[in-house]
Amino acid sequence: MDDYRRYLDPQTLAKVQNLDLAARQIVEGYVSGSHKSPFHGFSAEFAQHREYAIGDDLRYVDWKVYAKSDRYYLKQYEAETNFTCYILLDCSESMRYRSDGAALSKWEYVRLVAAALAYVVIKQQDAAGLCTVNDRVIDFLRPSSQPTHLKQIYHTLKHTEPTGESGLGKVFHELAERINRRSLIIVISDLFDDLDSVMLGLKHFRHRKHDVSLLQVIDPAEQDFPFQEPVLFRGLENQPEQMAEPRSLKKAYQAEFEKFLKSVQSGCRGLKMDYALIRTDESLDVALSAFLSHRQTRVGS
Amino acid sequence: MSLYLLFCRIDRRALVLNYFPNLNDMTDFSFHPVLAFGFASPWLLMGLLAAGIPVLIHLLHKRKFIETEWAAMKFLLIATKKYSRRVRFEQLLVLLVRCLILLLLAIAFSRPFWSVQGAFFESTAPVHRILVIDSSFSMRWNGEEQSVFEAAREMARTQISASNPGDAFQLIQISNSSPHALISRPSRQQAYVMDEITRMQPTEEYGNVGQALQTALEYLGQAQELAQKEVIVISDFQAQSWSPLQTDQGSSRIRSLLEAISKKSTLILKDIGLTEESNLAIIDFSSKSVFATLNEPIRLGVTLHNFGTLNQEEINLKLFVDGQLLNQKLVTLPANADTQTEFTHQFTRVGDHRLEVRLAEDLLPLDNRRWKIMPVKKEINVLLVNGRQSGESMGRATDYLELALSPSLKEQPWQGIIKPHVISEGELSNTELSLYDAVMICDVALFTENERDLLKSYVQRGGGLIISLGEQVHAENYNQTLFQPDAGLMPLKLLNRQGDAQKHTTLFEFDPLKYQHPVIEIFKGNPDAGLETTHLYEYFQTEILPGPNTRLILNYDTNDPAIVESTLGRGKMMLITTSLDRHWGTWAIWPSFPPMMNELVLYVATGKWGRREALVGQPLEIIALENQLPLSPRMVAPDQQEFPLLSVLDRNTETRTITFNQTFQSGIYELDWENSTSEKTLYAVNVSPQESDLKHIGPQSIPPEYFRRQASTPGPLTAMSVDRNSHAGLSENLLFTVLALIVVEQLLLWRFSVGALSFLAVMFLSCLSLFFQR
Repeated sequence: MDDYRRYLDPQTLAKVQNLDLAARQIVEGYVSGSHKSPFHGFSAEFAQHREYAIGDDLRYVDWKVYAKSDRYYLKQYEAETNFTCYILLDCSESMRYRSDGAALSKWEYVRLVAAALAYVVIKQQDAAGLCTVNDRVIDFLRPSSQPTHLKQIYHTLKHTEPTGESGLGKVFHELAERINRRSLIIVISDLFDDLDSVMLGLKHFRHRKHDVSLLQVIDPAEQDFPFQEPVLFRGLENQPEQMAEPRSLKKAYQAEFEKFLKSVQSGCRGLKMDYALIRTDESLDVALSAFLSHRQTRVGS
Repeated sequence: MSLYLLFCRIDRRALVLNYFPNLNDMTDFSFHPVLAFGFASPWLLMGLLAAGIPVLIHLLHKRKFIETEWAAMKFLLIATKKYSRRVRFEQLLVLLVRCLILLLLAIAFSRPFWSVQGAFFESTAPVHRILVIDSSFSMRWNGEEQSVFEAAREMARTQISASNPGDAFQLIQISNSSPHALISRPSRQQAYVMDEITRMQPTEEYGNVGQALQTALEYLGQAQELAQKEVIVISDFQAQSWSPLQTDQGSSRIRSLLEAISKKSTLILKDIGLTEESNLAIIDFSSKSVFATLNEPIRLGVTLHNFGTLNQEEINLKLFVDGQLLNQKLVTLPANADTQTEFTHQFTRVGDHRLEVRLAEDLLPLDNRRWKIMPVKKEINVLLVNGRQSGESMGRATDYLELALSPSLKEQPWQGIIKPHVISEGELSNTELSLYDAVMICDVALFTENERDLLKSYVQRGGGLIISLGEQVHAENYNQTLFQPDAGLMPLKLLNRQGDAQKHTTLFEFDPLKYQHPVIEIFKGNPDAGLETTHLYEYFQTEILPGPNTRLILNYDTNDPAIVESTLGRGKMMLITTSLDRHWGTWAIWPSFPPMMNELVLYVATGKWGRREALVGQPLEIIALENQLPLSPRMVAPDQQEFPLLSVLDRNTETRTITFNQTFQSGIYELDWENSTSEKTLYAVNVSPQESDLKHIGPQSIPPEYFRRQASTPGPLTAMSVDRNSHAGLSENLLFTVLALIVVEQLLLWRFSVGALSFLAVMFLSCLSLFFQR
C-alpha cells in the first residue's frame, strides 16, 4: 500500500489512539494522494463580483462574465474568510455497531471523519463547531477558529459514547433555531431514524439558509447482510430481538435497506443537499473526497 | 398367519382389501379380492425411518444459531414480516421433497406390489413359476388315450401357454438319481421352457418327492425382482412316493416342505393320478447263492405282488436264461398280497448268465420284468494253511478239512466244485492269494504283521478267510496281530481256553442260535446232520468287541461264540474258536462237519463277485484287478449306449474301484474289458418295487386344501369382467420418481418458482403412471 493510503486505512487508523494524530494523518494522507488541497476557501453563497487586479487568484475569475463582457471579474463569497462549520455527530446507540468485517465501529469511524474535518476547517482559520446528538443535544461546542478549540473538539469526541435512541428530527429543529448565522452544517449519522422526521429537520436547516451536507455512515454488514447460519439479532436502541434464517431473508432485507438508502438520497436531492454514503470498510479519503469534491463543485459553479 | 377383518385380510406380507363374499352361494365363503397390496421385502420398510432424517436435521439446524447486536433492526423486521410466510413455505416444500426422496426410496427397496381385479385394472406384471413334474416310473401308467406322464406334460405346456410375457419359469422333475433341476435358472423364454418339457421323459426311478420339493423351496429365493411366485406340482400323488413308509419322518418332512413353500408362494397341486387302479408286479427275483456251480441245480425264487382288489388267476410267469425261454408256469395272485414261487435250473456253461422272469404285460409294464445275473463257476479254489505238521496219517491240522472239502477215493476222484490246496504256514507269505476264492487257516501258531497285512489286503479285495484255532495258537500273538484294534482283521479278542481236550473233563455242544444264519440253515429240521450233537472238549473263549460288521453264526452251549462272522472291505471272514481236527473234539469226524465246512467255504467265497444287481439309480461298483488296470473298460447300457469307465483308488480298501452311476434304465448292463481273454461282466438293474403300488395318498399325508379345485360358481366380479388377478410391481416407478425429486430439490434451491412447478409436474406424472401401471 502507498504510504499515504496507509494513513487513510481504517485498519491502520483503528490502532491510532490519538485523535489529533489520526486527524493529521488523514488530512496529510489525503493531501499526499494528489487530492486537491482542502485548505482553500470555500464558502456557502456567492456574494458579488469585483474587478480583477493583478495578482488575484485566477481560480475565482468568473469566465462567464468575461465571455459576455470581455473583462475580468472575480467572484466574491459571503464570509469568504469567516466561514463557520457545524459538525453534527449522531451518537445514538446504533452507531455503536461494528460487524466482524469492519475494523471500526460506525461511531469510531465518524469520530475520525469529524476530527479530520474539524482539523481541515480550523487549519484554514475557519471556525468549526461540534454537536453530538441522539434524541437530544449531548454536547454543543460553539464554532471557533482557535487551534485550542480543536483540542476541545477532540476531547469531546474522545469522551462521548454512543448511547440512547435516535431522535434526529427533533434535534435538528432545535438546532436550526439555535444556529442563527448562516453556516455549513455537516451531519454525520447512519440515519436509522424516522426518515420523515429527519428530512423535516434538515429542511428546517435549509429554510434557515444553512448549507447542509449529509454523510451517511453504515457498516458493511448492514448493506451486505453476510450472515449464513441462523442468527438471533438483538436490536439496538430498544428494538426487539429477532431470530432469522439469513439465507432466505437476505434478498428481502437488502431490498428494504436499498429502498431506505434511495429514500435518503432522493430526500437530500430534493433539499439540494450534499449527500455521501460511506461504509466503515472504506478508506477515509473516500469519505473526505466525497465530501470535499462536492464542495469544490459547488464553489466552482 | 392371516388376520381377517371386515372385508379385508392382513397377511404376513400383504394387505388385501375389499373382499366381496360370493353372493351366489352363501354356504361357500369364497372371497374374491378386488385390491391387494403388500411388500415383497417388508423388513426394508424400516428405511421409512430415514425419511425423518431431513426433519431432524432441520430441527437441529434451527437450534444452532449465533447471536449478534444489530443496528438496522427496523429493516430486518420489515423484511421478516413481509417475507416470512413465503420463506416458511419454501423451506417446508424443500423439506417435503427431501423427506419424499427418502420415503419413496425406502418403499421402492421393500418391493411393493398390488393386485387389482377387473378388466379396467388389468395388469401384466410377471410371475415367477416353478413347475414340478413327477417323472417317476408310476407315471408311465398307460391311460385310455395317453400315459399319465403325457397328461402331466400336456398340463405343463398349458401352463406355459397361458402365462404372460415376462413370467419366469423353472422346471424340476420328481426323480431319484436323475438330475432334479431341468431348468435351474429362471427363464423368460417360453419356447425354451416348452422345448424342455417336450424333451422330458418318464424315468424308471422311484420318485424322491422330498428332494424335489427341497429344490423348489431353494429356487423360490431366486428371481428376487419378481414379487409374485407360484409352485405348481403335477403328479399322480402315488402313496409310496408322497408318504414314504420307511419312516414317519419322511411324510412329515414332505408336509413341512409343502408348508414352507406355501408360505413363500402360491402352492398349486395338480393331481392327475388314477385311483382304484390295480397293478401286477414282480417285486423280487433272487437265489440263496450268489453263484451257481456247473451242472448243479439252483433254485431261483420269484416274488410277485397283486396291487389290486381282485384276485388274478392263471397269470403266466416265464423264465428266460440268456434270452431263451426255458421255463414258464401259471400262477394265481391273490389280491393285495405277495405270492412266492420258484424255478429250478441247472447251468451247463461256466460264466455269467442272464436270467429274466417276465409277467404278461399290463398297463404299467415296466415292473412286469425282473433281471438277475448268475455267475456259474466250475470250481472254488480254497487255500488251506496248515499250522501243524505231522508225519501221522490225518495228523496235520488241515487233513480232516481237506477231506471234508474234497473227499476222494482212489477209484473215484472227487468231482466236486471245491478244490482245496494245502500249504504250510511258512509258505503263506509267498503265495499269491488272489488265485484263491477262500483261505482257511488251521491251527497256525503265530502271525507276523506282514502276514496279517497280506491276509487283510486279500479280504479287502473280496477274498474269503476262515481262521480256525487249535493247540498251537498263541492267543497273545493273535490278539496283537490278527485281532489288533484298528489294524487287525476282526474286532475280537482271544481269552482263555475253555475245557481240557486231554482229560475230556467238560463236554461242549453247539447252540445253532435258531438257525438264523444262512450257513447253518441247511441243518434246520435235520437232526441227523448232527450239528447239535457235535461234541467238543476245548475251545478258545472269545470276546467280541462292539462293531457293526460282526455277527454270530454258532455258539456253544455255554453261550460263548463258536463261529463268528465279520466283513472287511468286500470280503468276508470267519473265526472258528475250536480246532478242525480231532484234537479238541469229535467234530472233524462228525456228520455235520463236511456240510458245515462246504457251506462256510461257499459262503465266504462270494465276496469276489461283488454285487451284480442294483436298483435303477443305484451305482454299480466294480473292483479292478491288477491285470485289468491297463485296460480301457466300457459299460454298455440296455439301450446299447456305451460309457467309458475310469477306475479310482479306494484308500480304505486299497483297491481300484470303478463306480458306474448311469443306471437310469432297467435291464442288463455289460462291462466290456476290451480284452479278448476276458469275458464281459454282466450286471442287472431293476426298478424299485415301491413305484408299483399305485395307491393314492390320503388326507392324513397332504391336507386337501393344498389341492386347487375348479371354482364351481363364478363370483360376482367374474360374471361381469374377465377375472384376471395380477400383480404390479411399483419399484421402478418409485425409483424414477425419486430421481426426478432429486432434480426438483436442486431446482427449488436455485429458483423456487421453477422448482415448485417442476415438483407439481413430477407428482402429477408419477400419479398418472401409477394409475396406468402394468
